[in-house]
Amino acid sequence: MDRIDDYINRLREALGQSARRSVLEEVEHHLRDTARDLEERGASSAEAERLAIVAFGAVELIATEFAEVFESQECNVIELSRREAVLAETIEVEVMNIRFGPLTEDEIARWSGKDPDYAEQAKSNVALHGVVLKERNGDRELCIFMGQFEAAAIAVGKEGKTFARPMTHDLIGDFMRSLDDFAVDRVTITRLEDKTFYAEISATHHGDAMLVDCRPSDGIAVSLRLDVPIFVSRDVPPFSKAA
Amino acid sequence: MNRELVKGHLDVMLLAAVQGAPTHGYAIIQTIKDSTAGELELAEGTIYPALHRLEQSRLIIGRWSTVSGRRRRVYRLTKRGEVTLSKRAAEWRGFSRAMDALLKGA
Repeated sequence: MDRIDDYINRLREALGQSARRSVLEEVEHHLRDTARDLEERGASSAEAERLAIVAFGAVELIATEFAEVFESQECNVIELSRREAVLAETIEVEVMNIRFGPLTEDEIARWSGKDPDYAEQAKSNVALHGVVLKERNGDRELCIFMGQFEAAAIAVGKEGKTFARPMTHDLIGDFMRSLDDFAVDRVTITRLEDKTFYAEISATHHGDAMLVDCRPSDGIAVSLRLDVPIFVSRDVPPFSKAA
Repeated sequence: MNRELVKGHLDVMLLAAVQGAPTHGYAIIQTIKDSTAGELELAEGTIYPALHRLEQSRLIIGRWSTVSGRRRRVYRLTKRGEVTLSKRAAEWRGFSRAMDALLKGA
């Protein structure tokens, strides 16, 4: 492990639950660019890394400034939304893993919690694949069931893989990024109804908030490509108060 | 250059640095360093939280792109960012003129 790897690990640790893969990647690129330039000017590899880190700033300073940005992010997004009351009652989650293949009874029991609606839909989807979402500031998990292609699209997005030609969700992401003054704020899993999870994409276009209905699998796949946060409503088991 | 003075004007410096072609963080720092003739006292890493804050305010948009064969997050101004930069630049010029007049001979 070199000095830059060590710096990134310490920054990840200092950011805690706020650590985002894209932020750490961006910081690492900056440090390696700086070190490369210094090496080209004659510094040894170790010295170049040390100087790059000194110029970048102490881990604690950078982590504190990022934490302030991320803490205020949720407030801004909620202000922009037309459905403040609903969106305020959400919990941020991240994609933990993709579970390919039929689920076991133990897994269903684990994700069902105490909620009968969730258990019922889990049992009816036992042959499907699952994407496990974990609470960012806690240990609760939610498994959303979906088909193989949908799960594969999420796995590809999580790994950051790209193909020679854009796949469907890459195309959607490219479209969204290419629009002027348009930005996706977040994806929210909003409810579980009749054994089906519902989701919506929140975006801002020329300063106006908009919501787009979507399947959770599509919303998650798009969020990974645009690097926007995923939230789950407190109405959704097992995050609901009853569970 | 005074650190607090730089910090207080970092947002407008960043908006000015990303106007024109989409630019990544490392290039933004080089632009700011060149413009300030190396007098800048700023921890380079502090521009990244600031860039994310500007993106959150919809003044810039960041996206991953491949630049010279390397994956980079590049930023560009939004329309709202252009308006804000133009307004802040006019305010700064007015303030600068007033200070120059006041400090004449100091």
